[in-house]
Amino acid sequence: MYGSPSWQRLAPLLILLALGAVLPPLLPQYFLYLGNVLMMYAVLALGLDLLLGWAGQFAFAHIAFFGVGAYATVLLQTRLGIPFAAAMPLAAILAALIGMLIALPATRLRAVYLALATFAFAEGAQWVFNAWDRVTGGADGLRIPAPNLFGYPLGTDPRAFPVMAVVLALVIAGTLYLTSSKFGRSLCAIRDSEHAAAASGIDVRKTKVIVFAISAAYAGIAGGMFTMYQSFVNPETFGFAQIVLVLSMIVVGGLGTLPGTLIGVVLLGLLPEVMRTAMRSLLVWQELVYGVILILAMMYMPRGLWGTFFRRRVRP
Amino acid sequence: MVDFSLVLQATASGVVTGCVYALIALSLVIVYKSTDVINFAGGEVVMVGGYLGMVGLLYLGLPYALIFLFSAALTFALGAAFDRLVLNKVLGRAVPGQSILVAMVIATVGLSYAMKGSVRVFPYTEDVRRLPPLFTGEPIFIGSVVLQPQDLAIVGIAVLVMLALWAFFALTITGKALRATSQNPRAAALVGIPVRTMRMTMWGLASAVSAVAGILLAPKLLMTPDMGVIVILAFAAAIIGGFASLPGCIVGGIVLGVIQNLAGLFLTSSAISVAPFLVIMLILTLRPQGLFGGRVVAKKV
Amino acid sequence: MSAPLFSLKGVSVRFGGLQALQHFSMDVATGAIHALIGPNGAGKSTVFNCVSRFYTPTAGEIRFDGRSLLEAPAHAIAGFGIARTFQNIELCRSLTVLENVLIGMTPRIPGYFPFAPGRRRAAAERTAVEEAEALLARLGLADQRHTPAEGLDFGGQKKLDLARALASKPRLLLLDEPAAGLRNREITTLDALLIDLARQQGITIVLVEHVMQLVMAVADRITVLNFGRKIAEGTPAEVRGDSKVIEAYLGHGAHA
Repeated sequence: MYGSPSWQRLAPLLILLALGAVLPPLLPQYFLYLGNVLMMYAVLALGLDLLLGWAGQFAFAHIAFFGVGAYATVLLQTRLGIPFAAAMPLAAILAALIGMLIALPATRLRAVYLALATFAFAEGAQWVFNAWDRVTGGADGLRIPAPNLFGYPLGTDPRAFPVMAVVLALVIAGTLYLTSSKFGRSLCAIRDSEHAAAASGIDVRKTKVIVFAISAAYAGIAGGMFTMYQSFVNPETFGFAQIVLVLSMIVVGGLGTLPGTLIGVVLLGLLPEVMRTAMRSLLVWQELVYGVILILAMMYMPRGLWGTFFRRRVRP
Repeated sequence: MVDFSLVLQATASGVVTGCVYALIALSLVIVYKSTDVINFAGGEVVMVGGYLGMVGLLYLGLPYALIFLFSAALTFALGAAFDRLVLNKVLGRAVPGQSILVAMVIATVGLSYAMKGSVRVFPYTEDVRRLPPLFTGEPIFIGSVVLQPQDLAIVGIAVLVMLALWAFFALTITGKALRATSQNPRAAALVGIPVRTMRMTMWGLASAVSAVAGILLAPKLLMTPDMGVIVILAFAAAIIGGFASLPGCIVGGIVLGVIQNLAGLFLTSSAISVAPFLVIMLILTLRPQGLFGGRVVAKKV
Repeated sequence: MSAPLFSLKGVSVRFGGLQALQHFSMDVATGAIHALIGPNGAGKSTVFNCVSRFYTPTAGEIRFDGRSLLEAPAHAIAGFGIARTFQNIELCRSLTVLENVLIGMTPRIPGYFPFAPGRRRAAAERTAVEEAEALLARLGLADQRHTPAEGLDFGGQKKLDLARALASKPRLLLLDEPAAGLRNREITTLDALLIDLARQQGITIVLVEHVMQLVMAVADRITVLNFGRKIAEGTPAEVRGDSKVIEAYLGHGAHA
């Protein structure tokens, strides 16, 4: 976790970009839709993993920033006429700013209180999305205008797919660089031992606030990605079930590891779809199966899939 | 200017619902104090307790008083089994660089989905059911305040449970052993207290208390497998009281119930649903240890 | 006589009802090895924790190189040139040996934009890794540089804690029970290392220690604490024979 990511680590991103270009004409729309969903979750999960897996902060306000990103991207376009290409980054910056504001008081709290406070914030944000109907459209939500990327209309799955792939590739590359940097090591230090971190000259509080903001930015980007292929945004999407899903993805995949997070996204993102098609008559079993999988995963693979099978072995 | 009798009514109703929040909050805090885990399945245990009560009453023909024991006993077993089978295993696999609490919390999330899913799988549970109240009859008038007999039953039974818990923890040997274990597991183990069994008992106890809350709650709410969302209110109640304090839960629950109703009276009704979150954030920002938590002590290095 | 590099004056610390330190004063000369000893619970680690700014004294001052430390936040202490090890070996257990040392070097690695490639980044990281590996080689940990810290044996972890502290090229090194749990062979190596650090590299060392073998062998000066108060101070010979010290360790009525 030092130096710069090697070409070996960056090469798969080229494959991702290639798939982004090549798949849309080949695959049926449903698969492209699934792909878009997974790519969006990947960005969401990477952001949460930075906060929880790398920095060890038990903060669950993530979904609120996801919502801010989505709503802001739409509103900047519809209310202020800002083109999509600028609206999405601006929405992400807005999410980051709110994240920073939240972080200032939140980082003073101990683990369980931090978890509860951020969780309460996320629920409160969902309430705002519901209640502030003049702006957010309330429970009905907002219609997403077909976004327009320098004249290239998005809005459908095949058209959004390559752009999503580009965004995801950039986010993954950024994450690789961030985690192998001095800043990335500081995050791990804070996670493993705040005392050692402080004694090593790391400004723990400032670093925590920064990683909160960065994590919120990731969620904001994911919100913007959401608007690329969905036609409606409403508060339903930004609730407790969502944060639980993202959390499960990173824990089952492997906290604090990039490949683990991506594996978790694919597995738990596809699971509902798999269950829907394989167990068509047994839709009602979905929750039970999901719950049992989580329990078994924690009992037998607390390091997650990546951590259990691929982690650098501890030499005795 | 609001009619004072409405305020009284709101307060009285708030105390009633507050008692139920207090019970669920007690359950959450008992689990937290003994295992440091935030039990995300807390609401689902309440739900299952309510359903078991309904099964006991409507299908097994048990008298109302007995369904409390029936449901409490079964959920005790369920909670204890979860701790013994699942959490023990998870705890035994501590991973450096990752707090074990994350895995434990996900395990409780898994439990919540598993419980919700199990109930949903049973036929007929999706049809909304209402559990008949414990006491029916004419509404009771205390001054200008109107209460249903069920409301008095709720308060009465809740108080009974709280007293029983207090007596258990303060007066019995097992109760004292449980307190010792939650304060200092290492020391408790050294003096021969079986820590694992104690933890299991705490989980069982907490689950049983939740079950009672579920049966008390069920006649007032619609019984659905999603009933568990009420747990957020219990969290708020526990936080108000200071998450580590049992008496705090009681005060917190009642305070929250009253605040909710008063907010609904003076502000809009949608304020009722956001009040708990605002309360949580405000308290955690200004006074994280709640009303009863001790002063926050620096960790020894 | 020149001013001491590092001094505490009248430092008092209170935890609730417990007076952990009372009016504690100590001067440490540049390049000296100064030991702080005393029975368990005497307040030795509390002194270090005040310097690290984990605790704030209720009274007194702490000065390093003429500057007051009490006005600085915890993360600025490393920038003053002060590094420490911990009684509980606070390591980043999931990170490798090399990464732990890199963390210790944090104050000395120049900043760069962490999200992107760049010449400055590559150079900073390369230099840091080279220095870290050199330090590990000097301490005999080079073979294990990619081992996760949790995989080292106890002696190795203590060495790593020390490596992390040395990585910041400190002028003052605070060692909290460096010899605890070490085998005799390891203690002898530690002796030699500490003397080398102080004499050859000019690092001022303050060590909290219980292992008298080490203390008597390397310390230039010893301060003795008991119940939060200083009860003796002087050269090893002076302290060894001090009756108050003997009484503190062995109880009332004992003799050397």
